[in-house]
Amino acid sequence: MSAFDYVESGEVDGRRCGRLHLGSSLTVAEAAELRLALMAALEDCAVLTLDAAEVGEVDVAGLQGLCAVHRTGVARGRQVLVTGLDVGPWPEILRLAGLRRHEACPLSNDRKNCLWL
Amino acid sequence: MSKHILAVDDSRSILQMVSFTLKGAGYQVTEAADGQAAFELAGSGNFNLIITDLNMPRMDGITLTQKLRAHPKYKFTPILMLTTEAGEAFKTKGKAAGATGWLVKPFDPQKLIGVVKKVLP
Amino acid sequence: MRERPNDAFREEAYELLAELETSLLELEDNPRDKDVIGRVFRAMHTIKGSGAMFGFDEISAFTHEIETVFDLVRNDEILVTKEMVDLCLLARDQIKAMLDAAGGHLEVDRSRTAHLVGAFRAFLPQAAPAEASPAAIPAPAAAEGAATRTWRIRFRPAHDIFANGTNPLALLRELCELGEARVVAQTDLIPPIDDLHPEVCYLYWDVILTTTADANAIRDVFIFVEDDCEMTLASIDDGGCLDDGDSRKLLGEILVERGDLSAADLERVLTERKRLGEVLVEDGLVKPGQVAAALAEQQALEKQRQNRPAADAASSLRVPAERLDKLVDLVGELVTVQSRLSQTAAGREDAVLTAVAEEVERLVEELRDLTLNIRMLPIGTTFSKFKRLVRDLSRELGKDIELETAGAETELDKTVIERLNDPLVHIIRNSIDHGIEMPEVRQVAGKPRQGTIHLSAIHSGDSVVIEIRDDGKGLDRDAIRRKAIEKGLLGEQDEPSDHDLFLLIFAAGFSTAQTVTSVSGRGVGMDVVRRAIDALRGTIDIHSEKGRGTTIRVRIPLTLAIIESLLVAIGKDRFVLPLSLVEECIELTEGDVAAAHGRNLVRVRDQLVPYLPLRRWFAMEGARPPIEQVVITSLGGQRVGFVVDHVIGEHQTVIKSLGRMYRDVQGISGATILGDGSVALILDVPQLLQGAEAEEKVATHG
Repeated sequence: MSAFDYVESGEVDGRRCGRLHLGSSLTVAEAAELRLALMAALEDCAVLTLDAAEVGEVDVAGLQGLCAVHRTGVARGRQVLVTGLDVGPWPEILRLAGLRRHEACPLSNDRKNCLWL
Repeated sequence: MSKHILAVDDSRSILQMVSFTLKGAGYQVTEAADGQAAFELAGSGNFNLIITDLNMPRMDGITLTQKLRAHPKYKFTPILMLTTEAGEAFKTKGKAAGATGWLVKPFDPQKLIGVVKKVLP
Repeated sequence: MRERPNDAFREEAYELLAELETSLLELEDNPRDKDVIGRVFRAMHTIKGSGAMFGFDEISAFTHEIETVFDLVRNDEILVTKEMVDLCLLARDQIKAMLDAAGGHLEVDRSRTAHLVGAFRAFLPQAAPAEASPAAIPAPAAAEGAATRTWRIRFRPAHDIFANGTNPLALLRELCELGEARVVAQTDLIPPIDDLHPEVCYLYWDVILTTTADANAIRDVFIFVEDDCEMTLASIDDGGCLDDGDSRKLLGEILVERGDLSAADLERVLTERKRLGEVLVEDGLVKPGQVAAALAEQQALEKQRQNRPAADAASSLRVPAERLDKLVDLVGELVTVQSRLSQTAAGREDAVLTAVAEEVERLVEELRDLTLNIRMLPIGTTFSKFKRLVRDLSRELGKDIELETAGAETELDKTVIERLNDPLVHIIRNSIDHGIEMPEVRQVAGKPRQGTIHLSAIHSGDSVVIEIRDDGKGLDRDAIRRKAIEKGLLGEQDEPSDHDLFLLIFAAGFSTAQTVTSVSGRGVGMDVVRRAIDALRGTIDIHSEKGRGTTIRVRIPLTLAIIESLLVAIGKDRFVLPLSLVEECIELTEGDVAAAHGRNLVRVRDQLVPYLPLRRWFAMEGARPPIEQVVITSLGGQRVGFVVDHVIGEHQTVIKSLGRMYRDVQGISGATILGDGSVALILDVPQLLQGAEAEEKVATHG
């Protein structure tokens, strides 16, 4: 059973889209596996959507993984989006982790360019 | 799903008090009477937190902690130590073995829950 | 049922004592056996530890003495002697006696305990003084009455923090539970995904925490990670001496204080005239996260400053209310005299006098504002009384109701606040009694069992709007209509809008309650509220949706003492209208009157506005001038004109109440003294408005 399922989801404006299902747990125990799954997914498509809706448990290691893939995407001109941040433990976790307040990634001065905004 | 806690102590009264308190707070609790029994239980089960006494026959709390940290399943699992020895020496020893925190006996139920919350988000 | 932990302790202690006895006898034969020594120590240790936990303090303290001795034995510092074993056996018996005593059987011989303690202490090396038993539970630090302070915390966990099972989010959560916290994550250390070590902690945090907890309590959160993190704690607001006066903390200062930015860089950037945060980030001097954290700090400070009552105990003064009232009266007189002076000066064409008059005018104005401000109090004191009211009354009625309040800091004239109390109590009682349903009823209707009454106050122009909103069953349109018809307030055929119909509940003698309870509905209707609000020159508005709740909005002028008004004349008599209600003034010619075919309507930019000829209303003698003036007022969205002879101009009106004789005169709410010493009457616009409506209705139907 793989916790992280990746599927291609067609093309938009000639850009290859993919969707990575983040499973139910994004903790330090899964962090190594998560990193590999994120790297492979980012390699494969230009617009990567991370589906976080079913995540029930997430810790700092998991948050860092998502942040890292996003800024890597920014650096490579790829788009990384995340959906489902408004359900389950997410709102509370993002508040506690202080990520919802971010103005931008340190990688970019574009105000909108933050995974968590 | 409620968090599953493994409570380890050779004192049946302390074990009962810990178990009683945590169950009352909504946690699922499994009890073990010493380090050896705890390690065996840990291998077959999945625990979110281990609370262990320090001085126990067969296997003490420090050894249990070291063995759990070496176990792939418990590399990052919080481990709390119960002790009456609040000295710096113990803390260093416990931390070196991989303990997350400690709880100095005697403690009241409130304090126990407070410390559990500190390591189990 | 489970065995109670207490009994478990006693049972276990007996077992341990039996084991201890065996071990001690073994020890007598093999005084060097490490294994046996270990067993004795552990038994003592367990009895002590669990004894203290289950409240057997005496046992715990006593056992501690023996444990201390055996700790030394265990570490080869002293040797086991026959005497020691004898004493241990006696001690074992003593512990057993204590357990028996706890079971309710016998008294413990305390002198025996003391004797044994002394004997055990004699084994200790001379240097070691008997320390206090660690079994004693430390008294919790007194946290009560602690001041609210704002702290800046930077929490930077070690890279390998996850390895000992630490979850930084749990610590952040604990921090957040201490008070009001804003957490800002610093993400700048997170590498690209390829370089990411998944089990390393890269994130670190800035937290702005406003709390009553002291520094120790905050440090305690991090007690397990003391050696595994960098944690800096700084108070950014020291209670009373929060940034004197206007010196708001600037973003740049905060960044420099935090060490995120050098003072020299700040100086350089400040010479460019852009938003500081943007420039700093553009120049790469600070990270956006750091700016975000500093901004959070700035906001927290700002908020903290607003929350802290301006009246600091040391720098404020208690003054009897009567003295303040007297002061306001005097200022009122002064305003009157000043306007006389201004009028006189205007008539003299004396440059020096005019200059002095202008100077006096300026000073008086300032004095007036200042004086009225002194009387301003936050409405919150009244709000807190209502909490109790809601709690008590809802209990009495078996309802579950929560009172939410907002805008408690809104300031209003002291007298106004006092006079608002009764009408607000009445409205809230009404909500509790008639509005909010019983919990079961609410549940069936798919609402939360707990009803909510929301009470808020907010400034709006020169008035304060107080809103009382409940999520109860709303007003029963049909019941109100029936009742209104029954009471003759409404004709059988009348089909008023919901809004107009609902306003009828404030009419005299109106009450729709089916049963009379002790809470409300004892013959006293909402008309009491209406009258009280009218007396405050306020207005009431009501909205209700069946099944959803009712909202009552009360608008009250900020002060009762002095108002800006419009001075008008009819014949030789002067009247004033509150300027806040006046929209505009237009002319009314005889032609206009003729064109309206006897109806009191005037066209104002394509809208027909009803008007009330005041000359006729007050039955004043004298002829109408050919061109009259209509003062158009607006009240609660309704516009009505008042016809007067001339409009004189704006006027500072010091309100004097009418004597008891004139209290019930319709259409007049008070009087004022004009600059020339004559009296002008203050028009009661809300009351006149009702009159105008009634007239218009008659005209329309007639």
